[in-house]
Amino acid sequence: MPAAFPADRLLDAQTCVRRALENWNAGDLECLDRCRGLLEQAAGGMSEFEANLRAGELTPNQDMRAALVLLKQDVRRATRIVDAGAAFHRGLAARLGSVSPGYDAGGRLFSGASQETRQLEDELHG
Amino acid sequence: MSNLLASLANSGNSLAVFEQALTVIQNNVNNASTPGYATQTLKLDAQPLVVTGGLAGGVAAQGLQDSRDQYAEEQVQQQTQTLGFYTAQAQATGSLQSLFDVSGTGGVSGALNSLISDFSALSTTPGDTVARQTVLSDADALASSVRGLSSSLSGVSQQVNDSISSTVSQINSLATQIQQYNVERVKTTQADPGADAGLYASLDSLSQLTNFTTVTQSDGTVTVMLAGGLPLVIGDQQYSLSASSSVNTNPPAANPQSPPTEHIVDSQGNDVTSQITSGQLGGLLDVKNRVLPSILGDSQQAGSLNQFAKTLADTVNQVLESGTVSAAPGAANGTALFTYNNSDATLTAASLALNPNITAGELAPASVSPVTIGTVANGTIAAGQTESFTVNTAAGSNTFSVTGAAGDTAQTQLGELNGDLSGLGIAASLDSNGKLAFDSSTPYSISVSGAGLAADGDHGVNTTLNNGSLTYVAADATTQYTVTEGSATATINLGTGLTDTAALAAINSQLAAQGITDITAVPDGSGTSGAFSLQGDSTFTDAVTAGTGVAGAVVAAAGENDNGAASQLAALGNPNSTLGSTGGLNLVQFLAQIASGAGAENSDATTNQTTQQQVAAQATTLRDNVSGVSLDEQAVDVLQFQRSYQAAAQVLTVLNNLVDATLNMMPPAGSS
Repeated sequence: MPAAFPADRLLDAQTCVRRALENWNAGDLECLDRCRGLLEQAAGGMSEFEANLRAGELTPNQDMRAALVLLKQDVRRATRIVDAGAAFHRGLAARLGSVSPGYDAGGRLFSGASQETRQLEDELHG
Repeated sequence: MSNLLASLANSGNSLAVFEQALTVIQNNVNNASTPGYATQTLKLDAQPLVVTGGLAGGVAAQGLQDSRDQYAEEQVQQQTQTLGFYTAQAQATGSLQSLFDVSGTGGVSGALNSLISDFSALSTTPGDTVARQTVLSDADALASSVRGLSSSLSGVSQQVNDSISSTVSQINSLATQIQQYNVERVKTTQADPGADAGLYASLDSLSQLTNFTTVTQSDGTVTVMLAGGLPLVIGDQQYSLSASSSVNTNPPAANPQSPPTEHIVDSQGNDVTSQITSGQLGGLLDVKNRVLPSILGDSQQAGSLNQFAKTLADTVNQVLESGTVSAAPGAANGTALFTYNNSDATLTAASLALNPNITAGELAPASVSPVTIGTVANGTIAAGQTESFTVNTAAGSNTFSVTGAAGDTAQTQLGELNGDLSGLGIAASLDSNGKLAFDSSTPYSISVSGAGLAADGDHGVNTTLNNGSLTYVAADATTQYTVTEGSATATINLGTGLTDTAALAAINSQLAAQGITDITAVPDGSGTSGAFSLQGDSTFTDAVTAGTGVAGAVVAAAGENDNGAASQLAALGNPNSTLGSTGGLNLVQFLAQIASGAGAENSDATTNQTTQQQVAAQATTLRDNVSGVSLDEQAVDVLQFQRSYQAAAQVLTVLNNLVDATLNMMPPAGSS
């Protein structure tokens, strides 16, 4: 159901991402698809929210900024979880011989991780 | 008949094999909760059946098969190592964060705010002994609070050290267990599920403590290595780690007495700290060797708390030492409020103290600032008139004169006057009221005589001073003073034969009788009998209306503002003040930055810990999913999972971009 007020789309997006995080079950394909649906719903809401902002139908304020910062944290968390799951299956696929490993321009094994995860790994391991 | 017997024997064997299989299943059930245990299956092999050849077929047991998937095990260990890092980091930085008061009412920030308030109070009543004593007592409390914080931080540092030692011991103990497993493993040809469970339980525990990789050798033994290839266990050999503390000397230590850095050393004495990048030990080393030094300092940096303590002490001391204890002429310079050990930049906070030699009387709320002493008639000294100036500084007394000439402008005469003043460190100017003002960074007094300067020819008459003082010398029977503040005027006639004490009492009594209570007469500090200053916090005028008892006419005091230094220090917390500024932040803001830095470290670590808990749990789930499943079955699932994760990752990329785009449209944080 579409949000009653344009600003509510932001809160809806936040709720969707939270629910996806809470219900995430890495080993259950159906659950993963449901969670992906929630993330798509969040992206749709955010797209409309952005359009409302650009059209001047909403006045940016500190409350929105605070909500966006929280949403950003949740998205980062979801990204890391998805990255870790994806990495696991990439490795498993390589082990099973169903894919060949790729290499980046520096000759390193291509990790396929998002920038978020790469930054974190750099911080952690220098 | 023989076939029948063979069939019976065969059936008997088969039953024995199935009994073994049942035993294996029963063992699996029994060990469902055993740490490190992986489900076992009995491999069954069909025996050749050649009816005509005498081979009776049947089934034979071919040993136990482990459901453990090595790849999934490593993934779980890797995520557990990262979780161990963030958990240790979150715990240690949590202890740090709790030491800082962010409300501004307690701890160092509360004590700093109290001291700044004291300076503000002192600026309104600079001569008040109670206000001065309050400054001393709150300065003592602030120094004590800084020392206390430094000590508490050192306590946390020691706790982290203890945790590092304990973690290293645990790592060595687990390495011993793995080494013992290897010793036993080479004695047998087949793996023992119970021993394997013990091995993997040890590896799981080890993965919480440090980063490592394992290689299973052909003889079944396990080699454990740290990230850089440093061996922990190879076969029946164990290589122990140890922790040691020392100040880094490469590059040479700028702060040799700084808190030591923690090192992990291998059995050969090599420093392998850089190889410990994850696990609990990695997290503890990060807090000990990166986070704590940023506050307490190390061999190369002073640390933010020491920087704060030094800036506080140096700034306050500099203002007070260049100020004077009162606005009276010749008043002594102030004394430093704080002391600290400056032999090493990392000792400042731990040694910050109230100067044990300072007394309330030595606190210097006054400062030298422009003093206005005369009205320039028509902007210039009249043609043919001469004005004499006697300037007294610590270096001695200088007298010179300026004579008005036809066509002089005020600026011409000012230029002449400044030419004479040059070299004395004093500059003359005209203030906004057209009065002659003098400014100097050192105490001085000026006496003026002559007929050219003041409109009525009597210097000091109708002279207006802001928060100023005038000194009267040698009261006599006929000299009469009037002091006017607003609409109140006190006429003071002292007469002769009074002692200094009685004269002072008489002046103040007559001032008070007219309701002028914020202007008082005090000895001027010169030591000359009968030489008094009038001091006040508000604008007042005074006049000598008759008599000959004013020696040297008007003597301007050394420094007009009796609260200049205190006012300056009261501005320490002002966001626009550059006094005590570090990197564009005043002392209050700088302190807040230290606290928020510790808070941010903890917040980041806690957020990372929360996320990593979910990532590690996910790795365990995935491990359980793939363990014991055939490769063919996995291949199909893996492709489906890969597609699902890829799709989720794409949606998250879009969502992340949308959040960034909308965040960029928001007003900056903190703005309205």
